[in-house]
Amino acid sequence: MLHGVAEGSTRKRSRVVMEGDDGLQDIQDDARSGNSDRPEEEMSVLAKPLWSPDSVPRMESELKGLIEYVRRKPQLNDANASFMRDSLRTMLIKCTREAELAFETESSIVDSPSRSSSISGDDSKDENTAVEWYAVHDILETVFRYLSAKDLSVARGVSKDWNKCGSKPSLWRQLCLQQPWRSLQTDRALWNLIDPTLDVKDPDVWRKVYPTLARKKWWRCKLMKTNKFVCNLIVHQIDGESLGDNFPSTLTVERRFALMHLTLAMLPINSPLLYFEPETDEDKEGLEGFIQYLIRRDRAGLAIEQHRRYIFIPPCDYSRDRRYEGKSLLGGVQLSSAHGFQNNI
Amino acid sequence: MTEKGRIVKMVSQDQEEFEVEYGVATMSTLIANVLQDVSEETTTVPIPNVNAQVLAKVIEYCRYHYEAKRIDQSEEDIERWNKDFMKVDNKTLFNILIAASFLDIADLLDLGCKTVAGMIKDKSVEQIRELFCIEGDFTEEQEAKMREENNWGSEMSQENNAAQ
Repeated sequence: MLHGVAEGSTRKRSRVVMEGDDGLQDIQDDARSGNSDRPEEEMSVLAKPLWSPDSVPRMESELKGLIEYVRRKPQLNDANASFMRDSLRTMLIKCTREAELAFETESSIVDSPSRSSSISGDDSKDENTAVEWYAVHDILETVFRYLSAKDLSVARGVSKDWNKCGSKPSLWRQLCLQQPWRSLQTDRALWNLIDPTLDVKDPDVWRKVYPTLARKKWWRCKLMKTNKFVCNLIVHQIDGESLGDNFPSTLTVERRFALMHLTLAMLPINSPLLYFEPETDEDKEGLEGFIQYLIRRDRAGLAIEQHRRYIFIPPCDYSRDRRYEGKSLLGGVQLSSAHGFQNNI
Repeated sequence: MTEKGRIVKMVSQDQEEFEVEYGVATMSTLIANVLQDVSEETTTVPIPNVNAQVLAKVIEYCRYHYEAKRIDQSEEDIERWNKDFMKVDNKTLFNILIAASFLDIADLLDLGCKTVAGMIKDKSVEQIRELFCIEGDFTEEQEAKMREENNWGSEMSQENNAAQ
């Protein structure tokens, strides 16, 4: 069968089959509840691509065509599904008929006496036939969904075909979001913070940003305000001197100080910079509320740990100095031995 | 429509007939949709692009999982069975994937894709090519560029999983 697909799509591509004519008629007849004039380009959805009659992509494109057609006709929602069932049946029957026809044509071309050879019995000749992945890109893509970024990168190097499939933005997007950088979906300014050379409109931007993300450390952390739980956070270190492996599992904001005191003199440009994002959707509200609380009072928050001070920075001049124009929360870190600011709260 | 005792006749590409219980056959979403408004005791469904060998395998899968659900088979047992079921040569595995995709059996497609992903894991480009009999079709230049682009993969440490 594999061979059928492979041979069919290479050898018989010249036999142009304008498919979908019968199917289209069926659909139109049954869909007469709505306006039955199908625009040209809709038809072309069913008519292309020109796969050989008995191939999986061909069937797939017919099915997709049907689904696409249904989606574009909201008025069909009120009718019953009989026309869809009919067109599916027609599709199956038609495919069988065309498949047989294709086999006959093929047999006569290659002058092969037995039809069975084109069905499944040609294994003997060519046991190690290459797996024809190009025929089934969507399957390959599903396979790739289960790969790590490292394995996916290797897979891209296998062939042009694998490269094409393994470069799909959706795959890399998923890997980035798992990293976990969910805020990249919503916070445009974050891209600039991570790497100002990236062009967010580039479809490959997810793949390009991945190595940078993978090198950055992150931790889970619970944010408290005095003794009240605020939300669970993902803390990313964006910049500055490495904080090592350990990060407190809870940060408690006990003090605040005026944002005007927060300058590059106090937290220099090479000091560790953090980006906070809510761990889950449930944490969004808590974080948003906390940011608003700081903005309203024009304050930065402060959490003190043994040897470090964590400073919670709402959008302000300082965050813009550190190349962030967004609305989320940044964090600065001071080592206690080096701190130079007063506890002016 | 009584579904109990209903038989669906599935006909493979090479005209072999498989008689399958309704519940088993309709694990394929495609077949479930086709059968939706058919009420006869026995319905014949042609499966024009799956050969008998592969179709038998697919039906074996559906039958096991249909039963496993019915008798509440344990997760471990199902997992073990799945693992054994996937012990086939590459070509069969590939054909099962195509059939699962065509017949729309999401769990089987997933299982197969995970299996293939497991085969790719931790392999080099050359090993993967050998495994699937794929010929590299990049020019030397492209090949070098790819290697450079993917360099980060090897240098990357375990930092990814820094979370507790």
